[in-house]
Amino acid sequence: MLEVSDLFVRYGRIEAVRGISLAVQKGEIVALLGPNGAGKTSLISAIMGLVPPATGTVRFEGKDVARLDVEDRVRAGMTLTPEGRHIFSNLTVAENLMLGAATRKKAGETNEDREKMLDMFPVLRERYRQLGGTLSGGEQQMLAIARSLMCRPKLLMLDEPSLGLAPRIVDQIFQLITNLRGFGLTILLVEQNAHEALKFADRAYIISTGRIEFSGPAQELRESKDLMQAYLAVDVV
Amino acid sequence: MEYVVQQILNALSFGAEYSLLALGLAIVFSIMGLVNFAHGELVAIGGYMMYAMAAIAIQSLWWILPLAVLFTVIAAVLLERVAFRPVRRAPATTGLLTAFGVGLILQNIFLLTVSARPRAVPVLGPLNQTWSVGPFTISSLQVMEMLATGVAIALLLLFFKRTPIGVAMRAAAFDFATVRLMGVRANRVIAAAFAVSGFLAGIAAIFIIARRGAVDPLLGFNPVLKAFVACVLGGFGSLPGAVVGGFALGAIEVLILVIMPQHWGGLRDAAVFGLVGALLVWRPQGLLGKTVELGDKEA
Repeated sequence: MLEVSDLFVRYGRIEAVRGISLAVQKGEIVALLGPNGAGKTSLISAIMGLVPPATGTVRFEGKDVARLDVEDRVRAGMTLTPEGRHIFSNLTVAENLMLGAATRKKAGETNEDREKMLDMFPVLRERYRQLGGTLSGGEQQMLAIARSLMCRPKLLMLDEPSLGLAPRIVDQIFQLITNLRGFGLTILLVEQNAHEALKFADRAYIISTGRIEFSGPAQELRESKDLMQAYLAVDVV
Repeated sequence: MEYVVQQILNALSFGAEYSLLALGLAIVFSIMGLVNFAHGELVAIGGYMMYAMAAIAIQSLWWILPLAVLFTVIAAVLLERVAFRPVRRAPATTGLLTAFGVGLILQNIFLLTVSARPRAVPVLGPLNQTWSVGPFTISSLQVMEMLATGVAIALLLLFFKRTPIGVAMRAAAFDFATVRLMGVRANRVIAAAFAVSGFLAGIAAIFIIARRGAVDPLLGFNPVLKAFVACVLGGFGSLPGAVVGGFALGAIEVLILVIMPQHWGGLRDAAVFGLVGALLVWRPQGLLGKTVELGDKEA
């Protein structure tokens, strides 16, 4: 579904992504792991079109999307829940969800989806008329995910959904992401919390200093003590 | 008593005019960080359109007024497309200079194709009558100006609250990049901002022309300068601030005219700007602006 090949991202003279190739198949959950500053966010920002890639190709469902604007990639079926959530804090929860469905035409279907989201995230129903800025971090993360789902994406990319959240909330968020598998979604998940992400991912990539250092089944990575310690600073007991 | 009522009406109608123009500036600024100094030329375009329609024998105000507003909206959208879109990714100063450039070019086009001198537009005369309400005689134009401004602000509120593009505009004023991440086209949001500012400029043009009875190349320049001051006074980029700043400026102007001896009339603007300056020393962020310290995360 998503094929990235030989992608470079540069900020001035700094190379954040140095020749990364990866692929995500339909229906998979793929984790993108690695330490802080490895280039994970730069990579998915380039996939989404938020930063221009210096060279390399991005193909989505067989079509080259590397020259498309962000808006058009969303319309093609890709979406990104950005790091830091980026909720519109001056808009209500309802309005945030409405904007998530900005690319959709049929009001009936949109209303149906909104009801589904409110069932999946009951706390958003309680906060429906509140401003986004009044929500807690965990609630904002749920709103950000729900807002991304409102455009009925084929590929959902999540950038650090657990960042800055309390452990109890993190569990809840990961549980929700696992449940999304039932919706026939394809998920590319960027995480520093390798331990949690590997519990439900099918495959994983480890990125360090802009390059891929490992790729393979999540199972294999979970069992490899060396890799976990070398790149992910996970204490393996 | 009559004098007091008249001065209050004066203040409100000045305020309404400044608010309409200040809102147009603030909407564009809040979304794309551009101070559109060519906004005054949009007012002039509205004025010349009315002049042109009268010249080809369209006399009915039911045609002239809506068409003038429509043309101003179209002109605003075209201006964005032709002049501002190419420099959108450039630094903010480039946008500002582009706006000045566009304003100068348009003024000179009016000058060359029409005339440097004012051209009479008498068709709007019927709007300017004297009504007797009880013991008071009031100007119909002032009443209509206040009503029109009130209706325009109400429509704007509905637009921002109820329509998808209006909601997207409010979101874009907060975080444009994330609005695009929702699949909303940046071009549509910005075009809508210019369309709304053109709509407000068109309404303002009607009342400015009706009061003056003539159009000249600098028709909108001074009012927009005042509107800019109103924006700063209210808190730049804030839409409620633009309205409050507009009416505050109108009130200050009338107050100063009332207080100052008649033969000092020429000092009016100097006194107004001096007072606004003093207010800004007291509240540098404007009346409704938020204080943003360097390093604050949210603006």
